[in-house]
Amino acid sequence: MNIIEIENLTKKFKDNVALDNVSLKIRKGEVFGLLGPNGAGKTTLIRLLIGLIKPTSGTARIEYDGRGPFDIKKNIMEIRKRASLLPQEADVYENLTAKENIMYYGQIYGNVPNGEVRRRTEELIDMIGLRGRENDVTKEFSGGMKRKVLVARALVMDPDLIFLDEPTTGIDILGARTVRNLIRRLSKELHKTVILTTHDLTEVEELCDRVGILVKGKLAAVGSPDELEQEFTKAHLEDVFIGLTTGEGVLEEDLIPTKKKRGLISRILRR
Amino acid sequence: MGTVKQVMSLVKQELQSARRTRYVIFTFVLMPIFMWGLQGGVQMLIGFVMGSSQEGVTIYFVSYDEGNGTHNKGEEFLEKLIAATKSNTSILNGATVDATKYADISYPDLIEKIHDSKTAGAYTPCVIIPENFTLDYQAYNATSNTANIRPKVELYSLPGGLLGSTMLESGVLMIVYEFHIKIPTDEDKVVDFYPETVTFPQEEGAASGFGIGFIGFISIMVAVLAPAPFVSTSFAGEREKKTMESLLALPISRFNILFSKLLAGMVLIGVFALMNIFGLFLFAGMIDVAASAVPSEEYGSMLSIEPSLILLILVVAMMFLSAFVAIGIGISVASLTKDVRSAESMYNMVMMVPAMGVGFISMFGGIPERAFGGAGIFLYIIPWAHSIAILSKGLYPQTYASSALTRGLPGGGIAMDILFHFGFLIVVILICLFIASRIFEREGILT
Repeated sequence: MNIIEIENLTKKFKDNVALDNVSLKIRKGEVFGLLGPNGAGKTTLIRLLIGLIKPTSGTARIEYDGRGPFDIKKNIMEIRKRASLLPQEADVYENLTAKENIMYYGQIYGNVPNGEVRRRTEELIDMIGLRGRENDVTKEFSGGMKRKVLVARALVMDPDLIFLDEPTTGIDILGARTVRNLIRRLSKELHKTVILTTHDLTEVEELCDRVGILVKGKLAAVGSPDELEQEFTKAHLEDVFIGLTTGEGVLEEDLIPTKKKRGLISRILRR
Repeated sequence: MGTVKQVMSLVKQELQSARRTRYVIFTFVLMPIFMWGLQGGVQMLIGFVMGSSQEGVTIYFVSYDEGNGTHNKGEEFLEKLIAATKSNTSILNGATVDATKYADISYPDLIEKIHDSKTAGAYTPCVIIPENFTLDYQAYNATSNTANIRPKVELYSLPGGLLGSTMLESGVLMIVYEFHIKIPTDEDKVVDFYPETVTFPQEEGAASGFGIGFIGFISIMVAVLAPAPFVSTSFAGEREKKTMESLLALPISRFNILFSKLLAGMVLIGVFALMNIFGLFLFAGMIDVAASAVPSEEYGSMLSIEPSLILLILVVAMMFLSAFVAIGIGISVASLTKDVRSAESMYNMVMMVPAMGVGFISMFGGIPERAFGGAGIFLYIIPWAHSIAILSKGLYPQTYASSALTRGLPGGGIAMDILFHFGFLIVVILICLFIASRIFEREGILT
């Protein structure tokens, strides 16, 4: 069953085409990775789906279990009730405690009793490993801890659909590991649909069921990492990505890259 | 119901965040008290200075009294006036009396010169003893219970300046009191005193002196500055920290987000406005101290401010609306900038310059129209000019003998003026909020 159906979605900012006629279906319960170089349209696509910006043309519909489909142009509030967003480089409210940060978002959903919000908050504090620090003002938290709070905040309303825009960017290895484990758990244990943008191909291969590669606003390829490797006859997803984004073929020696080379390319891409 | 809960949650978050920052305590709670205390201090200082010396001020004296052949009460008045300028216990101490410069000018010509905006400055302050002063005095003294004609003394002065018209009036009045008619049964009867603060069309009565002008200046500065940290962190801060995007992705409309932030701002400036009550009492207390230290009771009572309920409401409402205007404009400014520093710089540029402009004009003894002549009316486009006008008229209504704004209109007067000023502020707030709501709806708010 598809949770999202995107049809010919286009977004222009004046003369700049940020998203060009994208059509895509995302299945319920999958972790879908959006890949692409900077400015490819990943964040624009997420912002369109959550209604932060309006499409120039085309549409998208989101359907939850037994509810919907909801059009992003007409029923955005219904979509947002079961969806949450963790924006790129987002921060917490530093003058609030971890618990207040999480509860605050829960309460804004409005139609859920405070008791339920409180219960979910306590659950999430345990889940992300912040027990003991939950009443500390987040100003004193490290980047990784803040990111944990943000992930918990995005989950407080038990959403069906979660948009994570570069969730591990800017945090240390341990913090990134925690976030990845959370995402894996969301998908495998809690059966949430996660749409994830990232520059980290290791993360994609580790987490994503399917991947969409965006190049200059166009959707260049969609499929699981294995499917894409087969389709483009490349040894690794990274080669597929480089081939699609540069528009050139891949050198013979790059087909089976060494670990060192791959690490180098990943690091360059992450920049 | 859900919307109310959402809005209240947002307001709670804003207030919780604000409560944990130092600026809130400082700007919204301590600043109003400090501000009024500072004003009280300035008033005290000026009061002491003015109570001790009027050095450099020339009072013109013209007497048309010819006496009765043996006595001349006009000359007697002049002697007392000169003596007052040399007495340490008089408000007029240190001033100079010039009784010769305009001695030959006729009464109608003198009155015309005084009421001509081009010459008024050269002919004022001026004490005039009309003809028959001695005869009227004696007649009234002889038939004190039945006579209708009282001897009179006229005083013409311009508003503003270090020697404000009310100060001068008080000084001359003290001499007038010395002309009590010594009849045991009717000791209260005195020479009639006709003081007039000369104002000109479109030059509304200015505050009576530097001290009063200072109140307008510093009040507006504080009202404009107080909301700055809240506005910049609540809007530009959210953009800078990228929390705005998360917030906008929640199932709550942008209008409600803006409304919630505004509501939180209103709570904060509500606290700020209410703290002015304590400040005003402190101010009144300090003025009382100043008044008790100066030599004359009249002078003291003239300085004193009674923090009546109406005055308190007026001051609280004025400070609230002035800060609200700042929030209204500030939201638009902060929504257009991407970080707190830029927002604060823009805020200062957009608001401090006009606020300081009208504040300075007020501080040096005049409100906009007076300082800039007829074109000065355009300064009333600056909303805080209205705040200053409300404050001045509320605190010292006696300095506004007439009002340029509603003069000639049915029911015109200070009360009508104040309503006009409040109305203007409210309209400005509504326009600002409309503009802010359009800016807040832009997609560009995310980037």
